[in-house]
Amino acid sequence: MYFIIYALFKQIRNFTKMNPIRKITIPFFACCMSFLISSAHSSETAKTSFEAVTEKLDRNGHLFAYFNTAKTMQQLDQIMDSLLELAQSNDSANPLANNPFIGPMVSGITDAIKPAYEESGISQIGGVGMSSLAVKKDQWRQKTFIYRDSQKGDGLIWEMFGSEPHSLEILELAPAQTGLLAHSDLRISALMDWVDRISEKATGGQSVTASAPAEFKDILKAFDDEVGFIMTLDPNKQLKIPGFMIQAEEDLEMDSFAFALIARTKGDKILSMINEAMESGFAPPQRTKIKGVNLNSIPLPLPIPIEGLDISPCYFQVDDYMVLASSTSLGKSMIEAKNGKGQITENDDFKSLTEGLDLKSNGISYTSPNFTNWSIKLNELGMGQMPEELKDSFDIYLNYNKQIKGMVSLIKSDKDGIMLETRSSVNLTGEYLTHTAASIAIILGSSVQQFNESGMFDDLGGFE
Amino acid sequence: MKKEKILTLFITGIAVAFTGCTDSSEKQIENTSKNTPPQSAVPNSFAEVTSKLDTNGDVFVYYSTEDVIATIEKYAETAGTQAVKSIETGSMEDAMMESGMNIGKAMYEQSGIKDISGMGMSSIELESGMFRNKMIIHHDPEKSNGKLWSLLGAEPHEIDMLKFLPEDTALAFSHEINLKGLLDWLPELIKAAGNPMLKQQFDQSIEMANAEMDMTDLVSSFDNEIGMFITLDDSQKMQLPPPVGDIPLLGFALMAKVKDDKISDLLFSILENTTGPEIEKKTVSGIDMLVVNEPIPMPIPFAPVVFRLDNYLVVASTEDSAKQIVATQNGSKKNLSSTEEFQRLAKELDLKANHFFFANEQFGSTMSPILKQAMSAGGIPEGFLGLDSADSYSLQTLGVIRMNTDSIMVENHSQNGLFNSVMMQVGIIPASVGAGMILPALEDARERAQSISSE
Repeated sequence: MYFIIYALFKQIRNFTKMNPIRKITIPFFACCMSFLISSAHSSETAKTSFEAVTEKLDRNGHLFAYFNTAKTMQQLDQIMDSLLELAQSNDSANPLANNPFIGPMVSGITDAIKPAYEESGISQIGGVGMSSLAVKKDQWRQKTFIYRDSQKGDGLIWEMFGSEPHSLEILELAPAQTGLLAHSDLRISALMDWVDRISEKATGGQSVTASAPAEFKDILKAFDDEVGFIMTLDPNKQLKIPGFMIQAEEDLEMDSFAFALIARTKGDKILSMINEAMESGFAPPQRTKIKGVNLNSIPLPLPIPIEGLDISPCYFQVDDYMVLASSTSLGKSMIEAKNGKGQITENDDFKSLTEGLDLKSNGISYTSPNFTNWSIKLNELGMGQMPEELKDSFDIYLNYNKQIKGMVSLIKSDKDGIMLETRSSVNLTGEYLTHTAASIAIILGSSVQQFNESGMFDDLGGFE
Repeated sequence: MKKEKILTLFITGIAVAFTGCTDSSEKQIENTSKNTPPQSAVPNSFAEVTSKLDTNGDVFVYYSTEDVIATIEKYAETAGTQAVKSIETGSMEDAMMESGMNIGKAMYEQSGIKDISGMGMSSIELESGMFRNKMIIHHDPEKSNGKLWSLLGAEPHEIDMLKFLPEDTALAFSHEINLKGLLDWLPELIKAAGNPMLKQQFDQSIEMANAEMDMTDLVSSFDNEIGMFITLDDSQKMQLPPPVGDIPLLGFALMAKVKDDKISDLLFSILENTTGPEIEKKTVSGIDMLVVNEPIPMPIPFAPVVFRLDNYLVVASTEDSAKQIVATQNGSKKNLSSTEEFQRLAKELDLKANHFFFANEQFGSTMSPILKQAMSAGGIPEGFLGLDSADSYSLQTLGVIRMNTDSIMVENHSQNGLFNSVMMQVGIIPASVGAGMILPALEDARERAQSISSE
C-alpha cells in the first residue's frame, strides 16, 4: 500500500510535465484505485448463506425473507450444553438429580438428548428463506427453503425425507376425484439408524433394532420408504348426516368421501402378513380380480347408519404400492387410475395448479377446491351455533375460503437442503394468514362465550 | 519518462487486480439479476423497499402489507359494528360510543397506516462485531397525507443535539415530534365524532388552557425536538446499594428545542414561585441558570439546573453537568462525536435524521452488574447457558430514524445483529431465566411439601 501511495505521489509531482491524454488517464486510474480499495474494504463482511438460500427463492414477490441461522444454531448448542450440565449436576440444590425416583429417569433422558440433537442434523441448518410471488393474478408460488451446510456432516432430517427428488408414482394411483392427497418419502431405516445411534451412545452400545421382534424387522425390510394418504370426494353422491347427530335442526348434506392409506413396499411381504392375519380373524376377505389386481374386501359386521357414506374397506397390492382403502369403489378407482384411466393429472384444477411445475419431488400435498368447500362445511359443523356478534366476521372468513381454488405443495430434498414449494390461488403468507389468524380469534371468542353461557364458571364470575 | 511508464503500467495492473478481487458479493447479485427473475403479477413495493436494504447479511426481509391491512380493516369494521350493537346501553352512552367509534375510524383513516405498502429489514456484519441494521416502513409517496408521515418529523436534518453531548455520554436520544401538528389534528378528530356536545367541551378546554397559559403560543414556541442523555464519568465514582457498589458518576440532562423564550420564561417563573427546595438564579459559564441549591435525596446526585442554551431549554441533573454541557456546546470541551467509539459507530452512517439514539459500551458494562444481580436474585447461576451478561446486555449502538418522502427508515450500527439481538433479548434470555427459575422453584416446592407432610 505504501508503495502505491508513493507511486501516486510521484505521478502527481510529475503531473504538470505530462501531455493532456496522460493528464486524464492517470487521475482516472487513481480514482479507480481509490474506489476499488474502498469497495474492497467494505466487502470484508462475514460470509453468510445469503446467496445460497436466496438463489432458490423468487425475488419481486410479496414476501422475500432470509435468516442466517448459523449463529443461532451455535447459541442453541451452548444452551443445550448448559441445560444438560445443570440437569445432570450433582449439586445438592438440584432436586431433579438428587431425587432417587426421578434422578435415574432424568439421567437417562439427558444422556439421550445430546446425541439425539447431534445426530438430528438440526445444527447443519445454515439458513432459512421464504418467498411468495404472484405468478398470475390468481396463482401464487410460495417457497420455503431450509439450507443445509453439508460440510458439517449428515443428520436425520436430511436423510429421512429422501436424498433426491424423483417422479411421483403416487400420482398414477390418485383418482381424478381426489380432494386431498398427502404423500412423502419416509426413510424409516434412517429413522431407526438414528434411534440406534442415540441408544448406542446413551447406553454404551445397546441397539434398539437388534432387540426388536422378527416381524417388526420383516416389516421394516419390506417397507420401501414412501407413505401416502388419499381422500376422494364425490359431488354426485351426497352424504346425509342426520341433524340429531350434530345437534342441528336440519340434516347436513355434503359430498360423500372415501380415503386410502398407501405404503410403498418391496415385494408383497406386508400383503401376505395382512392376508394371514385377516384369514385367521372373524371373516376372511372376499377376493375380486380387477385388471389383474387382487382386491381384498373386508366384510363389516354392521352397516354404517349414515346415508351416502360408503364404508366397505379393502386392501390390495398394485405394483410397488400396498393400499388400504375405506371403500371398495375407491379401491377400484385407484386400480383403474393405475391403469391410466381417470388419474388426478387429468383433473382441470390439478392441471391448472401444477402448470409449469416440475413434479419431481420427495413429497406432495394437494387439496382441491371441492375439498376446501367440504372442509368449510365441516368447520361450520365443528363450530356449532356461532354467537350472533361473531357471525358476520366468520362469514368474511368463510366467503374468503370459498374463493380458494385449491393448493399444491411439493417437498424437494437434495444435498443443498429442503425446499417446500406451494402453488395456490391466494397469497398464503399475506391475506390467507390474516384470515386464518382472524378465524382463530373468532373461534376462541366463540368458545369463551359458549363456556360462559354453559354456566360452568358462574361461581367464578364468568368471563365477563 | 520510462520510470513513469512503468509506474503507470503498475498502477493499471493493480487496478485490474482489484477489479478481480471485488467480484464477491456484488458480482453474484448481478449474475442473479441477469437471470431476469419473474415480476409479480400483483403490484407491490418490493423494488422500492429492497433497494434500501443490505443484501448478503444475516437477515433480509421484505413483506408486502397492503392485502394484510385491507383484510384487517374488513374484520375490524365488522367486529366494531357488532360490538356496538351487542352492548345494551342508554341513549347517552350510545351517543358517546358512536362518537368514540367515529373518532377511532377517523384516526385510522387519517393516520396513514392504510397507506403502508410494505415493510423491510436487513442486518449485515460490516466488520467483526459491527452490524448495520435497517428497518423500513414504506408508503406510496403520492399517499403522504397521513399524520404518521408528518407528526414524527418532515425531512431528515442534522441532529443539533449532538453538539451538546459531552464526550462521556453513555446514553442519548433525541426525538422529533410535531406537537403543533398533533394539536391541529385534535379538532379534526373531534369534528369527525359528529357530536356537537363533545366539540363544545373541547373548544372550552382549549379556550381555558389558552387563557391560563397561552397554550397555543407555548406549543408554537416548541421547536419539535426533545431529547435526553446520561453521562458516566469514569474518573469519579458513586455508590449504589450493595452488592452493585461503585459505578462511574452519573449525570443526565433533558432537552427541548425552542423557537423563543416563551417556554423557558414560563418554566422559570413557575420554579421561582414554587415553595420547596431553595432555588437560586445565577450566571454559570456566562449563562443565566436556575439552580436548586439543596440536592434532592436520590441514589444519584440530583440538584437540577434549568437554563436556555442556544435553541434548547435544558434541565441538567447538577450544576457540574450544566457546566460540562455549556463547555461542550461552546467547544472548550470535547464532544461525543470526537470519541473513537462514536466515530467507529458513525462510520458510513448518514446522521441526517429526525430521531437519534446512542448507547456506548460503558453503559452496558455499568448496567450488567445490576442485571447480573437481578438474575442471581432470581436463582440463576452465574454463567448459566454460557451467557455473559456484559455481552448480552451490551447496547453499544448508534441509530437514527429518517422520515423520507416515501418511507420511515430506521438504521442503526450496533455490536449486535438484528436477528441475534432480538433472539437474545426476546427469546433466549427470557427462556433461560424461566428455565433457571424452575430448579429453585421445584426445590422450594419439595421443601414445602416435606414440611407439610412432617407436620
